[in-house]
Amino acid sequence: MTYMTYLLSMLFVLGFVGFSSKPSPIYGGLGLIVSGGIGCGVVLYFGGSFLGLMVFLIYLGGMLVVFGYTTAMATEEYPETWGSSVVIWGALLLGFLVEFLIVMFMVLYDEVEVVIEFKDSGNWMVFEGDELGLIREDSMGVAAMYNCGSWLMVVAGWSLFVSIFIVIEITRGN
Amino acid sequence: MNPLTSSAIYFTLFSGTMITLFSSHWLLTWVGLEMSMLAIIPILINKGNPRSTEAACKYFLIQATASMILMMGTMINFMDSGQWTLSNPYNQISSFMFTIALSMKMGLAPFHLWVPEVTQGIPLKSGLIMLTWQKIAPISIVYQIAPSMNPTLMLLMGTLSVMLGGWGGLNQTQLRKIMAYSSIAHMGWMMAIVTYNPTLTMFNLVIYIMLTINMFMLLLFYKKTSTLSLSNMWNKFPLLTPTILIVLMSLGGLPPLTGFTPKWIILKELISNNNIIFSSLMATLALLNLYFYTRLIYSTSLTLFPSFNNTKMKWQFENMKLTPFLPTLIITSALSLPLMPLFSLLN
Amino acid sequence: MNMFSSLMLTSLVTLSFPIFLTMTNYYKHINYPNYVKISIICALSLCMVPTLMFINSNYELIISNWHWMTIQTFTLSMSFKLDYFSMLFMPVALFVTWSIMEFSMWYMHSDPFINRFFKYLLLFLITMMILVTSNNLFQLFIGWEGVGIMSFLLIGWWYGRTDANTADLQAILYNRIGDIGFVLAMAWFLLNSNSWEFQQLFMMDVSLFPLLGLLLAATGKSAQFGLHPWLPSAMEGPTPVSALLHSSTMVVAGVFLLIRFYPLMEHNKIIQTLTLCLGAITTLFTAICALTQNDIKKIIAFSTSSQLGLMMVTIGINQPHLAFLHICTHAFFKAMLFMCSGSIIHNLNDEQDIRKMGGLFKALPFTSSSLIIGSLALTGTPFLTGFYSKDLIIESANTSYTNAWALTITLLATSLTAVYSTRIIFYVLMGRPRFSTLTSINENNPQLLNSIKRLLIGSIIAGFILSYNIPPMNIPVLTMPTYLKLTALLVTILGFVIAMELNSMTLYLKTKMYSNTSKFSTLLGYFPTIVHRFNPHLNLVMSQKFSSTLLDLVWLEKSIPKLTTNLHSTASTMTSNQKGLIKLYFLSFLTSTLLATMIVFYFHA
Repeated sequence: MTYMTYLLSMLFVLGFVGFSSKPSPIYGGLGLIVSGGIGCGVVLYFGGSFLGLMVFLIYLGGMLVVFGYTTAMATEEYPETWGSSVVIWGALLLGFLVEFLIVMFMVLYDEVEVVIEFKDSGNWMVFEGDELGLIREDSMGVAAMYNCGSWLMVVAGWSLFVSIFIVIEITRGN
Repeated sequence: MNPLTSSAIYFTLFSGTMITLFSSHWLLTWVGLEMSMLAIIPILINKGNPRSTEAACKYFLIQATASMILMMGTMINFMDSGQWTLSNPYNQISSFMFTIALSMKMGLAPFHLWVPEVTQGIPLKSGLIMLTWQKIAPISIVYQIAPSMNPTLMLLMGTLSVMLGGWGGLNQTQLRKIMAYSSIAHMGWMMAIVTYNPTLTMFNLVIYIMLTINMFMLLLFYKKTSTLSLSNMWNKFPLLTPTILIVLMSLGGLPPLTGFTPKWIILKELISNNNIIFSSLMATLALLNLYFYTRLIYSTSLTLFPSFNNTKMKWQFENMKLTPFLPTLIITSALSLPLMPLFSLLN
Repeated sequence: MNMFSSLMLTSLVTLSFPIFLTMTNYYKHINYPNYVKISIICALSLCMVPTLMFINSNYELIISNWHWMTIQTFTLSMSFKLDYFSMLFMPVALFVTWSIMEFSMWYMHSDPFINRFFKYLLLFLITMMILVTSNNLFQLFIGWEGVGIMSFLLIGWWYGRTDANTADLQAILYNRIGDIGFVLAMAWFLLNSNSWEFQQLFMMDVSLFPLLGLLLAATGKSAQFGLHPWLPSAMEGPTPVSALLHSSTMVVAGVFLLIRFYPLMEHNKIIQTLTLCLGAITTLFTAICALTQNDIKKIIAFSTSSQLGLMMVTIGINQPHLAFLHICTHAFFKAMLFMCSGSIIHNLNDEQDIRKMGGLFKALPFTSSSLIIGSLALTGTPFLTGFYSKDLIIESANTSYTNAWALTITLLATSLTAVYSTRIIFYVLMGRPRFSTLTSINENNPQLLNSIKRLLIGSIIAGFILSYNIPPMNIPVLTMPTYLKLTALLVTILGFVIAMELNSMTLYLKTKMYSNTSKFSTLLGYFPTIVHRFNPHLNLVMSQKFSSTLLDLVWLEKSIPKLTTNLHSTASTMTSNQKGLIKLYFLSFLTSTLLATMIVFYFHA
């Protein structure tokens, strides 16, 4: 599973390298969607199947809409792909190289300090009496959010509510 | 803007900062920051011209990046200590990330480049909010985690801010940019002292906000945005010219005025912490600020530019705006040096 | 025998009475000059008694001491030393000054401030008296500075004239240089001894250092080579001032100082050699300068300088008593020569150029004869006053084995003395008149006649009387070959003959283009040009360059304000050069973050 996580993480970063090497926006959007999907996979492999699913459905769904709109509104006749310019190629290769080096470093030295170590799911273990039970951590988290973090939910809801006004306010023009 | 929308937006803006101020949980702190950042975007755009839209975009990008770094730091802190409490992080990396993120948010050198750019693009009133209210949240976080910050780094960044704020302002004729650089320099003063005495940071922030609001109100009063337009103000409302002089001198930290107080105490504190070189460097660099304030004063109230006799005779009160806060602000921003003993209440 | 001190002091007090009168109304009275003269006569007669007693009873010296003040371990006393030098010098100086005062009453009668002039002359004399009678350095210094400041005031008497102002500035400035030496010596003695009394200083074993200081002091005051230009310039003052300055005060003060200090100098060979060479150079150089001058007073002034050089030579060959004798004899005929020239100048309507004189032996017979006798005495003609000192000096020099070069130079200068004396006599007195016809020549004023007459008698017999009454303190040179004995006489005669021949021969010749040697002599060896013009010019130009270029332009403008301006404006444009590109900002943020990371982890580690 660890190798799978490694692999997915590498792909995740490679997606970012893909859009940050500056092709046309629609390809950038593509890279983001790929990365987003892979990110959900990483969360899934950490054991957050619920969270991964939610993110995939809601976030990726939204992203797809955005992607669709950008594609529809793209006016470039010949959008720049990764292969159309030496600069983009160079940036892409540089990104790959750096990624490769970091991975090599991780493989050789077993860990990099900054990267979160793949260790704990123990935070969500419940020790009760002499009985040891494993609780699904994401559903637990959702419950905790509604219970302990109820006011956070209120704040978040208000923010979402206001952001509609904000978006409208920004985009409506005068 | 629709009154309903605008009241919702302003409410979000202020409540965001308030949440950050009152929160002891990193997540809520972050949420507060995001809220105020989100809410200020339409305020920045306001008129909807390309300049302000571009400025708002830049502001959004910078603040989002900063929030992201802050979130990252929070996560690392959580992974390391297992708690979300907003206390001094023992983890060097997360502390460092907080420093970077908050510097970016408040526009401390070398993360200051966006401040003049954004301030110049937006209307004066939005600039007033951005340069005052928006500083409160990041500085309050800095205030809370100050003991864990790296003193050398903070001092270096603070001095660099004072330096770049001074140098940057020398090159400007636009009032909003000048105010932005002045803000950068003041942030430098606040951050230089924060690891030694965070109370002084708050004190300086209070004084700075008071003076900046005053200055922006004065500029708003006649909608002046450039040095040149300041120079023909003397025959419209002569009372404003000496007022601008006093406020600018106070902002520059000239002794009998209010602005001298924080500089004085900060220098004293730095010297008692054996930071002779940095304190003298900062005191010297404050002269640069004073220089470009003086240049503003020069074109506002010290010279009469050649003009027709007809213009000289002009004597009418075009502006009938009510200015309920202005007298109070002017008096406090000029004369509250004797109130300095009240400073002990802050401790 | 307490009469010594009391009479001497009475004499000095008598001199100071006219000064005190300044405070009363009598100072403005028309008879004030006469009163000054009478007080000098009284002082002279009072002073003669102890002098004669001193000579008669063969005293060594009498010192009177009054305690003045004590500064910790250092005692200052007011003490008068009445020895051979002061005892003889005082009557001589008083006698000469008496004549000069009388002469001034004639010469300065039309001056509106004649009373002040007399007061100055008297103060000049009093300070000189203080100088010669003092027994400690402090008192000597008071006299020394007093002489200096009074000479300043008197040379610049006609202060409306630029020349007079430059001349007295020169005098005071050159004397300042000399004073440095004096103060140096004083400081040395103060450091190494707890007293400034002479008898204590003379017991010390001194190094060369204070003696060099004293020599410098004497060089400044007595116008020796290097610090000499002020003396000929001082001719801008009134003629009585020149007479007093050159005969018995001021210029002899330097030589007198060295004579006073000879107990310290007589064992130090280096300082003696220095003194000898300095004197020899001075005597020759100033004699050469005197050769081509056309101003009658300047010629006489240069001759004084030359004689001072001779006195220094005498000190250099360790014969201070001879030098002192020469001071005394020289006072008579030099004062008289100046008074004669004053008479001539006055009678020719302020004409000083000897080329415009001539044939005066008929118009001014008395002055002419006095001038001739004075010149002869100056050249050392046998049995006139100058002979008794000068001949002895040349003899001692010839028989000493000190420094043959210096002695040769001195002999040459002696010969030149005759040359320029001849020149004065030839041009002023002989031949036909070349002055304008409308002059009212009159030398019948008794004030003029009496004063010159008195000095004339002095110039003839004073040397005899003085040398007869002075006990020999050094071993005189008694035996020498005939040719050495006659050398002084021979070179003088040679000088006379050559000068006479040359003058007669060239009188009617057309003036040629001046040769370089002639220019050297006319322009005083280019010394004033070099020292007064070139050095200050160089200094001023350098200072101007320093102040305007280095200080103002480089330091006060370029290095600080302009540098600051450039620094800050460059920094300002560099740091706030906004491109408005958010990507660049983020790049710079990234760089800064990396940099900050490095800093943090560097300091953390």
